[in-house]
Amino acid sequence: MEAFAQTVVSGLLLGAVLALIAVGLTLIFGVVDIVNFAHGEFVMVGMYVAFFSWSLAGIDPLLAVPLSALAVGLLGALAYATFVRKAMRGTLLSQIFVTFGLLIFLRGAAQALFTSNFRGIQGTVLTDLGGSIGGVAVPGPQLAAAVVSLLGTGAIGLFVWKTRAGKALMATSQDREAAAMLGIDPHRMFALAWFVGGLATGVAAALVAAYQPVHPNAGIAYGLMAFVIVALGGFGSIGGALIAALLVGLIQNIAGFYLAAEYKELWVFLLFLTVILIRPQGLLGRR
Amino acid sequence: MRRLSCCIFVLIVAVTSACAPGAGEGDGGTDGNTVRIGTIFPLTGASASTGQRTLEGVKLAAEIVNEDVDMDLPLASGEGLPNLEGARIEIVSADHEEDPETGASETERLITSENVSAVIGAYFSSVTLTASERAERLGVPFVNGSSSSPELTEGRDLQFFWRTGPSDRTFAESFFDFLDDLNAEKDAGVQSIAILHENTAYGTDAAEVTEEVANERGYEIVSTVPHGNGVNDVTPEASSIKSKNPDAVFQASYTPEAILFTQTFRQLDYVPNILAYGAGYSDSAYFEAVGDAGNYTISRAAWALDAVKDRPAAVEVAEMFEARYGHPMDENSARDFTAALTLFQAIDEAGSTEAEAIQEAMNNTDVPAEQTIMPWDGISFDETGQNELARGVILQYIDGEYKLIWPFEAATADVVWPLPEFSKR
Repeated sequence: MEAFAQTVVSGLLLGAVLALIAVGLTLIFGVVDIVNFAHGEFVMVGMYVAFFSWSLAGIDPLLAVPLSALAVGLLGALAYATFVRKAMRGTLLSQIFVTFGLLIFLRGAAQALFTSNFRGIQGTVLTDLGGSIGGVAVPGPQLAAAVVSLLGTGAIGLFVWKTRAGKALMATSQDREAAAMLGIDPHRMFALAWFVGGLATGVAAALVAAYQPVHPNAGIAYGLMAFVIVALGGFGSIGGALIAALLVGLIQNIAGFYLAAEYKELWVFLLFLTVILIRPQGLLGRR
Repeated sequence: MRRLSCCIFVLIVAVTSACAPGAGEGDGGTDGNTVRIGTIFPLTGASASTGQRTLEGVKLAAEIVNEDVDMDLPLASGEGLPNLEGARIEIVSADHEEDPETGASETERLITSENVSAVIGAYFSSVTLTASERAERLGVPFVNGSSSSPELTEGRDLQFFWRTGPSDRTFAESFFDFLDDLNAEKDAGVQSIAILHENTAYGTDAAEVTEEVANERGYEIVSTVPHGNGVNDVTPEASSIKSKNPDAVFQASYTPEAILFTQTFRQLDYVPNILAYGAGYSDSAYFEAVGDAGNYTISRAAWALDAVKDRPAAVEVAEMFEARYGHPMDENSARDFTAALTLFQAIDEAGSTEAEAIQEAMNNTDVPAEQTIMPWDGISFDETGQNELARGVILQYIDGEYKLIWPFEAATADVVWPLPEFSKR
């Protein structure tokens, strides 16, 4: 029973963080209609921002959240303004390869600039916080990451559904031409989507850097999972991404513990394939 | 017409590359007065930092041969290889990206296009397996320093493969000798064992040999947990070990997962008594990343500065390494340093870069212990290419350095067992 409770808690903690990362991806996809293959590398960049804030200026990763968010947000906006915007005028293939190129570039640049060494943030406010409730460990860094990520996901939801800018964003995602006719500049909206998507990703990245090694390949696993979650939840759906992420976290932990841990991702992909068969648009996606 | 020109193009490429100079023939390795040696290590990907450190070991060995260094090591004094008119060693490095297939094709490229006389690599046992087979087929010597899978020298019958370091069979036996002593002398009461391992050749073979020796010695295996590489969460694996609460955990993992497991165990508020099969736990990058949580780590090793402090040359090499590369020499760098120096000695002994001549010299290698930087009985290969004089020692990371804790009679520090809580390290 204790073991089961532990898998559920660990699963939800992991899922919450994955949710915010996936929301960043789904927002970009939903509005701009481009798949950001470099999304995992955005996470990696955010992790480095948090690491260097800590190692050079002694800033706790919790306080580095805004820095990392801003950095990744600007990276997203910059990527849009320079390459993506141009590529959108090209063929489908060039749209696919522009973000793929960005992936290779970011990973290579990180290795060239920061070397392939593993970095880790130690002795933060959160390190020895947390404890166990009835034998179930609730680690401080992960709890903080999960709580902030859920707040972040909520904030993105509020922004999209309640603010003028958010509604304009959604209008562009639903019908680019109609929105443009009503005076909404699609390019500004696209840039905004990349910025907000990056912002969300940067928040999550700074938080995971508090308890995971930071290196040029640190984003790969996050990028892959974010894609599965976005497809599972429905492309462009924030609520879908949240539900799917929590599901993925739970399945990874429960199946990983009771079945073979080595194949924990297999169960996630199995669920993904099943959902795609039954509901190709994803859990909450529109057709 | 288009198809025809395509065919012709392919034909031309095929023919010219087959005729390319040095495609497996002759002593292509000398160019003027240099001997070209290939290295194949993981230079990109998650284990790039480890690959870099192994490559640095090889480069330092080449530097000691090439420059006139005042050090009590073979080939250190004087410049270059004396029996080859002072020829210098040139290192041509290639990257296998942790992929066995890439490792094999890059080894082939080193041999056929880069014209190297011998290849050193590949750290990942799974890659050493395929790369050495490719070298064998091309008839070029392949020397390994830092792969420990027993499979590499058991039942393969290669004529051009040598391993200077110990295999995990040697290490597993050392570990159980250590546990026997620990139970007898410190009343540790270790009985139940779990195995946590990565799921390629290195980890699965280490797990297999651990299980074998554990059964022989009467220890009980309560759980075997394999894990993948390049993952971002190992909570289920760690929880699974925690739920079995074994007296000791044998772990074979590369650096990123070693870091992740340490952090995850800490978060689960569980302190496993890990006995590590080196790899990630031998990597100085591991200790930089986890900080104090890495203290008291116990690992098997083929090298530690603390175990060779009585050898002036070993201390000088370690100092030179740190001065050159900015981080301390670790086990992985020392192992490939030794593989490289052994190969360079054989080439000098052969007085030639021809594969057969190097082969004969390698087979006749007989380096006494004090001519190496390793805590071994020396270097001499059996018919499988395994160095039968390689030894394992057991270390514990205390006060920022690996200390020799076993064999007890040679120990420089007392073993701390069971391992202390993470917050008290």
